[in-house]
Amino acid sequence: MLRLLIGRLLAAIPLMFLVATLVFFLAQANSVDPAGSILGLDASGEAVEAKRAELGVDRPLLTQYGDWLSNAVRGDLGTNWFNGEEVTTELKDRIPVTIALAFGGLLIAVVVGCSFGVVAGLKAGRWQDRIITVASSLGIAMPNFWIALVLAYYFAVKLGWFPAVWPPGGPEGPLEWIEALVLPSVALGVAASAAIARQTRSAMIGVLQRDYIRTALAKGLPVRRVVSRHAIRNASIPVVTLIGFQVSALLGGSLFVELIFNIPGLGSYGVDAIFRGNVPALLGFVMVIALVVVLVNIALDLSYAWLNPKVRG
Amino acid sequence: MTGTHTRRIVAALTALSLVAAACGGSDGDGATSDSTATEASTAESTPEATDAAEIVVEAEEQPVSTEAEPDEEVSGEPATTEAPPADEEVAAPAGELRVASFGPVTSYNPAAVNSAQFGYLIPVYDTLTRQNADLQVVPGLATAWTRPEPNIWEFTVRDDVVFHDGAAFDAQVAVDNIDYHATFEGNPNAGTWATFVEARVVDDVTFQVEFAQPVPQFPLSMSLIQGMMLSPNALDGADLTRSPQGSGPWVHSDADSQAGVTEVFTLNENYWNPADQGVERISITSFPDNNARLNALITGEVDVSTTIADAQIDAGLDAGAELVAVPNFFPHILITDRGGELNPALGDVRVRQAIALSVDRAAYSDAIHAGRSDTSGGIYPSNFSQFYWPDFDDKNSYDPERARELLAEAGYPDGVTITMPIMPAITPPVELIVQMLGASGITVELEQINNGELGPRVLSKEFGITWLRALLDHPAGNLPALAIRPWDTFELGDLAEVDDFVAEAAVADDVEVARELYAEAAELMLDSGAIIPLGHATQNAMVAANVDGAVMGLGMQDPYPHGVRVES
Repeated sequence: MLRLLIGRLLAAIPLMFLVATLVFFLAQANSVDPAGSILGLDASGEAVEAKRAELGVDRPLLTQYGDWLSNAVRGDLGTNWFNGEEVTTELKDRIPVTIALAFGGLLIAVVVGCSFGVVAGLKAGRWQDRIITVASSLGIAMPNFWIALVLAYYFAVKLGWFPAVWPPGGPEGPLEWIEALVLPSVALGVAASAAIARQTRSAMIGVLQRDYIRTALAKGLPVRRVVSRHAIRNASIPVVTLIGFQVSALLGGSLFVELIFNIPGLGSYGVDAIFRGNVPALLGFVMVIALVVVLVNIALDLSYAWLNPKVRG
Repeated sequence: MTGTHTRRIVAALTALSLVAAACGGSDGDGATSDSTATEASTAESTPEATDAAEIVVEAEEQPVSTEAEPDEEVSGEPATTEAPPADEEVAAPAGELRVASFGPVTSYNPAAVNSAQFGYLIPVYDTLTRQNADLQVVPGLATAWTRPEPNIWEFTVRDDVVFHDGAAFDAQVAVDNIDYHATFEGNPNAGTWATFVEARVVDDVTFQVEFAQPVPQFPLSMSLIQGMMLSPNALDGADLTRSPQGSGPWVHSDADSQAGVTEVFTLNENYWNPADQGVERISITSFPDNNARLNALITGEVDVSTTIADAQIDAGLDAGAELVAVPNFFPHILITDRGGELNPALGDVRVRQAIALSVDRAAYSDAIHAGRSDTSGGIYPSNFSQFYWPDFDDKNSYDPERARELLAEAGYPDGVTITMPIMPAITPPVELIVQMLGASGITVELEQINNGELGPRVLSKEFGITWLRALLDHPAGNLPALAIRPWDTFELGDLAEVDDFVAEAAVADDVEVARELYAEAAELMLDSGAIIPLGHATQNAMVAANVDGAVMGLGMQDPYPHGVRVES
C-alpha cells in the first residue's frame, strides 16, 4: 500500500508540471488584455504599455513562464493583478469554503445515490425501481446552475428556510456554516447522486444474480444480512470508482453554484480570473484544482486497493 | 482485524444510507418559468453583460471657448452635506449598512480606478462636491465654487477637515490632489483632465483650477471618483491598493475585510459632519451574479443591492424593496460611415433617417429593459431634467412606411444591406435591431466579434454602424463625445457645428440659453443620423424597506452611504 502511495505521488509531479505548462500557455490565448482591463477604455496607449511593463506581460513568454514556474515550486503563485493580494493568501481563504461545499455535495451524492441505487437494485423492475430510474435520469439531465436557481428561489426567497446567499462576512459558527451549505450542496450533489444511484443499481442487480448470493439465500440467511454483508460490499467497487470521478465533477460544478449562492470559494475566484484575464489568479486556481483532483485520484486508487485485494498485488 | 472492523463501519454507513433512502426526500421539481431568479437570468440585458460592450463617452476634450463670461455661482444647499449647527442634536450612528456590489474593489487609489469602484471608495474619501437627490451638484469639501473666467473654476473649501491619518485639509492639499489626479499615469478618468492647465492656491481655503477651454461640468466631475481627496501623506507614491487614506465618514478596516470578497468600514470618530454618519459600520460584499444580488436583498442578507437589472425591479418591489435609480445609460445606434466609405448607402442621410424611423423604441424598451427605459427620441431622457428637451419626444418615431419611402427616394427601393458587429455581450439588443430594420427592408449582416473588441474595431473603421451604450453626463462633454471625439473615425467633420453650440453653451450666462444651445447641438446629431437613440435606461439600486436616505447621483453605480440609516 505504501509503495502504491509513493508511486502515485511521484507520478503526480510530472502531471502537475504538465498541467502548469499547459494552462500557462493556454492562458495567453485569452483575448482580454489585463492592462487594458485594469485601466479601462479611457487609458492612453502609453499608460497601458506602462501597466503591461509593470505586470511583466511585455516580456518574452518563456521568461514569464520560467519566472512563474520557479516561484510556483517555492509556493509563491504571484500577485493578483487586480487587487495586489498574494494569490496564495487568497486561495488559502477560499480553499476551505470550496472543500466544504464539495464535501457537502459529495455527502448528499453518496447518501442519496447509494440509498436509492440499492433500493432500485433490490426492487429491480418494480415501481420503486422505475421511479428512481426516471428521477436519476432527470437528475443527470438538469444542469446544477438551474437547480441552484430553483432551490434559491423556493427554499430561500419564498420559504425562507435557508439563506439565499453565503452570509456576507462569512458564516459564524458551525450551525450557520451548515445552513449556508445546504442548498448549494444539494444543487451540487443532485447530478452526482443520480449518477451514483444508476451505477449502484446496476452493480447491485449484477451482484444479486451471482451464485454466492443465491447460495446464501438458499442457506436461509435473512435478506437484510445477505444484502448488507455480501451484496453491497461487492457492488461498491465500481461505485467507489465513480465517486472518485464525481469529485472532479463536483469541483467543476462548484464554479456555477458558487456564483449563484455568492460563495467566496475557488469556483467564483476562477470564473473572475478568466473573465478579467487575471493570469496569476487563473494559474493558482487551476493548480489547486489539479492538485485536489490528483490527491482524490490517489485516494481513490488506495481505496480501490483496499476494497479489492487483487489490486494490491 | 483492522480490515474487518473498517468493513463493518462501511456496512453500518451503508445501512444508514438505506435508512435515509427509506425516509425518502423531496426533489423540489416544481421549477416553473415564473421563477424570478430564472427569469432575471435570461430575459434581460444584464448590466454586467452590457458592461463588456459599454463605451464610456465621458468628456475627453472640451469645446473651444469663444468668449469669456463673468462669474457664475453654482453652489447650493445640500440636505446632508452641510455640518449642522453645534447645538443641533444629531442622532448617533447605529447599526450596519450591508451592501451588495456588482464586483470587488480593485484599488483604493481614486486616481487608478473608474466609476465602477465609487461605492467602495466613497465611505473613506470625501469629494469636493456631491450630488443630491435632484442630481444637482451640492457642497462636499468645497463649500462654494465660482467661475471667475470661462476657463477657470475657483473653489472655497472647508477648514475643519482632518484626514484619517491626522493630516489637515486645506486649499494647498486640494491643489496637490488635483495635480495628483491630473498627472496620474494610467488614470481611467483622464478625460476630465484632458485640457487641465494648472491648479493654484489663492489662500488657505481658496484655490483655482485652470483649463485650456471652458469645462462647465467640472463641479459635477468633482462629485465623482476624480473629485476624491487624498491625504497629503499619500500623494508621494504611497501604495493605496489596499490602504485608502482619505477623510471620509468611515475608515477602511483591512483586518475585518477579505480582499476580493467583502470590504468593511468602521466609523471615523473625528468626521467633520456627524449627520452623514447614519450607521456605525458598512460592509460591501461582491455579488457578481444578478440573481444572488437581488435574492440577498429580498431575504434580508443585505440592505442595499446595486446594479439591479431592469427585469429584476418588479421582483424587488414586490418583495417590499425600494428603487433608487438615476438616468445613466444611453443605448443608441452610432453611424460613423456618414461619408459612405464602407457602405455608400450610409452616405445618404435619407438612408440613415430610414434606419432611425425603423427603430421602435417602445419595443426596444419592452424587450431589453423590461419596459422601463425612457423612449424619448432625444439624447437626454425626461428624468434628466436639466438637459431634457420635450420637443424631441417624438423625434424619428417608429414609421416603417416612411422609412421605406426614404429608401426608395435614396435610390434603394429594394432595400439596403448593412453590416454591424455583434458579440456575446450585446447579442439581445443587436438581434432586436436586426429584426426592426428588417421590417423596413434594411438587411443587417452581422459580423461576430469577441467581447471587448467593439470599441477598438469601430475606432479602426472596420464598421460604419454599430450598437453602443454611452453613459450620460453633462452635455458639454457628453455631446461631442457621443459622435465626434473619438467617434468621427472617418474624419468627416460634418458635426463640427456641435462643437460650436457646445462652446457657446459652455460660456452662456443664462441656464436656459445653454439648454437651448445644447438642444440645438443634439438636434444636429439626431438629424444627421449620426446618433439614433434606442432609449434611455437607468442605473438601478434597490434598498430594503428599513433603509432610509439612500441617494444616488449621475455617474454612480452605488447610492451614497452618507446620511443613510438602517432601522433595526
